[in-house]
Amino acid sequence: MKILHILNDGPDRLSSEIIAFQSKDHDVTVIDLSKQELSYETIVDSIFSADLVISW
Amino acid sequence: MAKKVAVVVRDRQHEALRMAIGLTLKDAVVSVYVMDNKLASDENIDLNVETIGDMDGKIYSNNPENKFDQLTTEEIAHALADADAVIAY
Amino acid sequence: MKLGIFVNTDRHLADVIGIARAAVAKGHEVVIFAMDGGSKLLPDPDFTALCSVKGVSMSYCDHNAKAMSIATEGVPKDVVCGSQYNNAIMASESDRLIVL
Repeated sequence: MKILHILNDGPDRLSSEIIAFQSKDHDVTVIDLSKQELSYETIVDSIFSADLVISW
Repeated sequence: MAKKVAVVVRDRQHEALRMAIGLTLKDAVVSVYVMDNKLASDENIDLNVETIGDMDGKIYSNNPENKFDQLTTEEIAHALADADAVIAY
Repeated sequence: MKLGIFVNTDRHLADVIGIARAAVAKGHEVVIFAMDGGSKLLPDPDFTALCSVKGVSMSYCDHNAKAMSIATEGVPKDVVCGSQYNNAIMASESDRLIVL
């Protein structure tokens, strides 16, 4: 399963733990919005190509 | 088919629980995960907890101080992956 | 597809606008619901202007706006003064849901 985690304000302890646990069994991708590295078009594509999105 | 929505409660507990109740208005199956912190107890929160139960919502926590069904953080991570949508508040 | 954007803070307006506009430009539908801290964005015309973008619909929790004494007089009529029911609809009908 493809899970996208969106970090609105960068990583924190809880999101990091959840991401680490889910990464054992799932295809996990992380986008850190605070780094402003990706275009919004790319972010939208990532959102819809994932099966589940979790924002933090 | 009813959507499975997971609500992760970190801070802003009042609003997170009020929002969780609202989600049941469209027949979502709501699971609430109270993470790390002890859930405050006041009139609103106690009523919201009761209402979530009345609406067949489930409340879990990784903090034994909370008198809800206990799950480890790892178990909660897997439960979140099983949801159709996750709202981390 | 339909993207739900649950706005519960006022800290990510640029991301709300950027993601919403990018999504509709790609042919998606966008539903935005604001509550709690997100209600503070209601007086900001940059936020509410999204309601005039084709493919975007918006609503907010009136309970929060009133409780927080948010000035909503200038909010366009197309931004629905709503309730948690609007959020329930968004969560139920969206293909993907993000929180900002």
